[in-house]
Amino acid sequence: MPLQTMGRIAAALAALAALPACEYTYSDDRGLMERSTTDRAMLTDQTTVTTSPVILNVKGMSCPKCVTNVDIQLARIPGVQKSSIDMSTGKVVVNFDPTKHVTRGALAKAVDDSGLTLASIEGK
Amino acid sequence: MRILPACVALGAASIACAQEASFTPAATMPGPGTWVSHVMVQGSTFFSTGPEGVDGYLIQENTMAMLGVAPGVAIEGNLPVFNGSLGSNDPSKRILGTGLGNLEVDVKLRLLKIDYDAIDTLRVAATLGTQVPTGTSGYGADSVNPFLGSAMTWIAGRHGVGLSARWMFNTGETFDPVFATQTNADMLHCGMSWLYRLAPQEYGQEHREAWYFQTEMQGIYETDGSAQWSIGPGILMEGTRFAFEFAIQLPVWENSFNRGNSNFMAMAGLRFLF
Repeated sequence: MPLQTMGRIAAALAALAALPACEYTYSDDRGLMERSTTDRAMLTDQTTVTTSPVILNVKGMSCPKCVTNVDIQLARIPGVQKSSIDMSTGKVVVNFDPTKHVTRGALAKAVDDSGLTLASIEGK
Repeated sequence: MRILPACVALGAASIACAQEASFTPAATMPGPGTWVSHVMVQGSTFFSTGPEGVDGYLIQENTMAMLGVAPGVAIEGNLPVFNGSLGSNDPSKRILGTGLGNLEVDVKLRLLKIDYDAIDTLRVAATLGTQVPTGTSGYGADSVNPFLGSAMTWIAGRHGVGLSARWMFNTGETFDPVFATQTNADMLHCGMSWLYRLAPQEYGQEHREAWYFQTEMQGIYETDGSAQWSIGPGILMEGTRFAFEFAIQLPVWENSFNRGNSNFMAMAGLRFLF
């Protein structure tokens, strides 16, 4: 089966509300397929982010209002001071107060609540 | 008077909060605790070649709001206000003046979300709601009319495609109906839209607004045999907190069964995100 087709099938399965935690591990020389919905494990990750800023790789930011949706949800996290977004790359740079114990799960939930997908978090 | 201004039904409750057209309901919704409001003003003219001689104009103002209540769940409402002069060969059946239309409330549920990359996405949502008989001055129905629908939004680069369908069950009939939803016929409303991002060609960190060209096709079918199909272009400017839109709809084909034909409709709207 072509790689692209496998990716589409996996993405569709992962997107179904009835299968929120489904996993897919098809891989080849390009590595693991990227998820098209936020991983449930990311939503529940209580690890505190210690280094500001942190970069969120977000998918589905198709318009300026989507950007604002993310801004609004991130601003509701205690300790988050500022976020800046590059729509072309999907990178959201989040500045926060390291003393406020911002968790990776809170960041993931903010992106998920805004209706978008968090692919990964860069930073510790 | 049996006038069926299609534009009124066509323009019902489309609360867009992303790269979405003016009349075709979208599958997107705000996050929990976030509001989207949408104000649209539509002007329409009508004519009739039938024995009733229905003609005139109608101005409709839609005040719509949508609130995200949970991830993938939103509630929305729309209360239209009308001002018009809809004439008939029978002077006693002329409608003139201002009045409320039917309040519409519904719940929107996200069924599917696939985010392919930074921009591209596919969303599917379902709506379940009802019309509430709040109309005055002949602009509303006397019955509670439930409806269910679905919407699909697909965004790929600079292109955005929307599809929607809604079936409304009419549980009553107004003595002197004005709109499709006032008759005893059930109604299917379908919409199709295509948006093309004119600017920017590529998003960057500095881009916080976008301009789109939009084309929409709208169709109505009623179980009494009436049907209408219209098409029209528009422009949409979207910022981070607000959007402005202007669009027209022109009839392509009409089977105006006991009603006046619409021959032109223009709309201007503002959307806000709180």
